[in-house]
Amino acid sequence: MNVPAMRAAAGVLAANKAAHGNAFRAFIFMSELPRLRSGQVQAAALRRARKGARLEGNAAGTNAKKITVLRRAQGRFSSDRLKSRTETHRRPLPSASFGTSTGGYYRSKGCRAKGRGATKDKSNTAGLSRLRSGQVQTAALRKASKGRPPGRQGGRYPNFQLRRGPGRYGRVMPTMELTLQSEATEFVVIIRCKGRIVSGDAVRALQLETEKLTHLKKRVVLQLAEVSFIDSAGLGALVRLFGSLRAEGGGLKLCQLSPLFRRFSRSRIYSA
Amino acid sequence: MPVVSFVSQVLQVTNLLGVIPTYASEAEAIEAFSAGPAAPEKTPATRRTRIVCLDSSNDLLAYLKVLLTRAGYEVFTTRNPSDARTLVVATGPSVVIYGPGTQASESVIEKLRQGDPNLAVLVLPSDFSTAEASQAGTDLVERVRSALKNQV
Repeated sequence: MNVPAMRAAAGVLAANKAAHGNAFRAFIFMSELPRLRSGQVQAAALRRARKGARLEGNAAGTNAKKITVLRRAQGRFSSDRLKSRTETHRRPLPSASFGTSTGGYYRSKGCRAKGRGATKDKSNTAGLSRLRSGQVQTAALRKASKGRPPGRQGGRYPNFQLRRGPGRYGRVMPTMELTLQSEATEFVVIIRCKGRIVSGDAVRALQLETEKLTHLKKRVVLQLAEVSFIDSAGLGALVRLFGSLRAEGGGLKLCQLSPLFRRFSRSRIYSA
Repeated sequence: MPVVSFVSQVLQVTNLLGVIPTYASEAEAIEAFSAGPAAPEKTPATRRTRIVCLDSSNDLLAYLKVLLTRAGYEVFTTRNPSDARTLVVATGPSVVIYGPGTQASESVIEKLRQGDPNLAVLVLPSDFSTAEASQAGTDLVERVRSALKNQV
């Protein structure tokens, strides 16, 4: 077993556990573990299963998209504990938008209901006949918590507006703030940026797009006509990109820098 | 009130305008490739004030390196705290900068200062990497300058 890969798997487990706030649920997404083979994923899940968890779902085969690891529900989820967990799921809906990997918004019927509302979502319990009652409740909670935003699925809240703002825990959710449009000419790759070049998803997207396009052509033109903001890490990413392309015999040119009506104070310029 | 590009303003304020070439249009930028690569900048032979930067983000380290180099300092960057200690011993910097992605505890800073009591240790705020590049850059350079003044 690849030790770094196992550490990565354990990290994903821990991150998912922390993100969803559920001690009884953890996901491993194959997309997050591109280097892991199915056997490794199984091993990661089984290792967790040995620590009092129960493996469920299609863990075998390369087509398994995710593995759900459930703790043994038997004797663990008394009514009080389940109620407290249900309370956790009944946080008020924030007026926040959804980032690329936020998830965890509890919008479906089950989580909107009072008390053990999640258990009332009968449709979610389909196919779970083998589970015991406590497991059915937790499974229903889990399924209900995976509801998509109503605005997207056109269900209960068809006019739900996606807006930016603080997330469920008061933090800003990661949003894809940078739109990239690329065009490869005979000698040069042109990437047109729109939005904000900021640390996180935006910088990662820019790096991925550049890596994808610069396998053969190392000459890149970044058109920044519609870039409204750039932070320290974003500027650092541009500097790194410039350095790496130049080291490979190519280059990076910026063009059409975004216009902004702002008085420019030369007093802030310092020289070497 | 002149019309100033936002990105070019950031590049000018941080003194990076000469690092990455900028052009008015895509056609000019594409044409500039035919002129061949620009000659790399020459670094002055005289010994400059040395700064060691430590952070977990390569992007931020790249920004710190180019920003402080353009401001006239000799910069060494690393992502590894133990490498940072080695660099401090080997290069004898005047300033050590801890980025927001590191944990600079009092004990660590005290250990660094054991070799050089005058060593200035700057800990960047947690929002440094997400702050506007020009503002964060100018603030950092001012902090470095004031720290060096206090040393003298």
